[in-house]
Amino acid sequence: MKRLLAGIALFIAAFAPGAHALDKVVFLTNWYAQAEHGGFYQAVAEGIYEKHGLDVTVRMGGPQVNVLQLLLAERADFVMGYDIQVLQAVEQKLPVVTVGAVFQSDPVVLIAHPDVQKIEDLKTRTLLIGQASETTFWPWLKARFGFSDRQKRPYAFSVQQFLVDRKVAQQGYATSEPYIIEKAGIAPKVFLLAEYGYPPYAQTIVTLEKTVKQRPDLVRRFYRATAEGWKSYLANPAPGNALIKRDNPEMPDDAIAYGVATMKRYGLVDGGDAKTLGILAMTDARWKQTFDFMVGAGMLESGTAWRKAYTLEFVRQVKVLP
Amino acid sequence: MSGERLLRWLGPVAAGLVILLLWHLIVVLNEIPHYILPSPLLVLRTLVEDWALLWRALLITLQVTGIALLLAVLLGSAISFLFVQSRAIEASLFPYAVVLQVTPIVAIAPLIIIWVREPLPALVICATVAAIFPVISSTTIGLRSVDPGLLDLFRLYGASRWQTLVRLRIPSAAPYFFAGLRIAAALALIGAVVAEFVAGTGGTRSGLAYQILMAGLQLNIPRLFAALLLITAAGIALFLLVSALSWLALRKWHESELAREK
Repeated sequence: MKRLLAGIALFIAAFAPGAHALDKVVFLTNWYAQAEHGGFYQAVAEGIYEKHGLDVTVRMGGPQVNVLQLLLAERADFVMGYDIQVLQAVEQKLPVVTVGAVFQSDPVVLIAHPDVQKIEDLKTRTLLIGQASETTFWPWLKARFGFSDRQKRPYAFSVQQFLVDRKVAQQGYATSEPYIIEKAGIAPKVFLLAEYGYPPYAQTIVTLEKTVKQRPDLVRRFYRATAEGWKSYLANPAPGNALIKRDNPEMPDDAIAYGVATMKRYGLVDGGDAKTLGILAMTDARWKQTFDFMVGAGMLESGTAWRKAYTLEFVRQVKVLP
Repeated sequence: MSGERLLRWLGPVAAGLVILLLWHLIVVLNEIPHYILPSPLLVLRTLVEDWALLWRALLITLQVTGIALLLAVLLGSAISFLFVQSRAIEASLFPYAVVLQVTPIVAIAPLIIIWVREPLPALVICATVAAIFPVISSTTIGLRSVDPGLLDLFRLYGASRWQTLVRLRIPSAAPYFFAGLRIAAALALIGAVVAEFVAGTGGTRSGLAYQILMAGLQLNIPRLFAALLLITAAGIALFLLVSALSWLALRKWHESELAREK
């Protein structure tokens, strides 16, 4: 009898959630490992996920990797998303939902040669704009500053053209292109679009509706551990960087350091609403702004159930102040 | 004879050297910075300096290429044999082989990545899809292009279906098959590189596409050129290998490989 009881106890212990069993979670990023993913790697390196009962695998995205598709195919539990993409997915009635935003502002920038004083002056320059940006910030730039399609030429994600042509300005990410240009010997003017009111969050955490409904506790733990990971990463990025280098060995240390410094300078992770609502914060007001901009630019049907694109449930429940 | 052979070697080598010299002079005289266009010497030096890194990446890309080419040959030939069994089968299925050929790999790769969990098999499938069509197409034509006179002869002597296949159809198809293989080899290599771009694998198990992408993003253009040089060299080596195979198989009898004295 005693042995039977012991057996039952063992059986329960083995299958009960909590104490020993870690929940397996796959998180898929949007690009090869870089500083912009630091908090997730940090939470793995420092055992923060484990502390919250999670066994997290961080998988890298890449140039053609469609993260929402892989999320919907349940090849990942959480993916790194972007407001505009998620709103368009919701318009198509896809069951995806944003639970938190790592970047309080989009790091997208316009980069110009040193003689340019104001962003408005770029009206007379040739702008290198990537194809994907046609459905993100380019419509916003046209509406906000009166830029036109005539001055736009395709951007092939190489700064070579910018370096040889002094009349050219280009798009970029605050964390990467300006540094590469600086290293090539030009001190560029950098305009962060978010500072001029470009509304979307970036590097968001997106999951399936059913995960939020059926496993809110899992989402909450992932949210909290990730927020703690980011806080830890900004304080001392070394452990996270070691994992970034393991996944993406060609990423130079100085480029990672520049990424971290830029995130701090613009307060991408710990600025904005994160200061009061905690890391990963989002608000209804910001989502409304992004929705309004997209409808105004003809990128979204006005009848879209935009509130389904996100939930503030976890923002309200968990508060990890920077 | 020997003069002609010498010319066949010297011609391309001399042309290549002249182009390299021009390239070098243009870069040096115009003081073009290395992040716009590196000189051939710098590319060569980068290739030597980054050899360990690039060689490892090349081996992974070649591994995918090799497996994909093998699969393309096995599957492609099997499909061709199936096609020539009956006109009905060929008529029903051949259009789909064409569909396979004209579908951009970039469009179907995401599906392959969803269904196949491990990166290596996913890359191999992408590269195989890219390489299989020339094998199917050439081998099918080859198996059909049998001399009707010889076919009658086989029938006259009461040869079995199997004997006709092994003794007549396969030898007649061989030259076509090897012609297809040359194209397939190049396509498998390109397919392996493109697949890696699409599948987004990185880390220690990454091939040349990852190195090219990373070098480009970091404006390490000399390394980008060095990686391109390696891919080109691998492509040429593959072509020579397939040509050698073709020569070994056909030299005894087929017009295309016979050395004719003039």
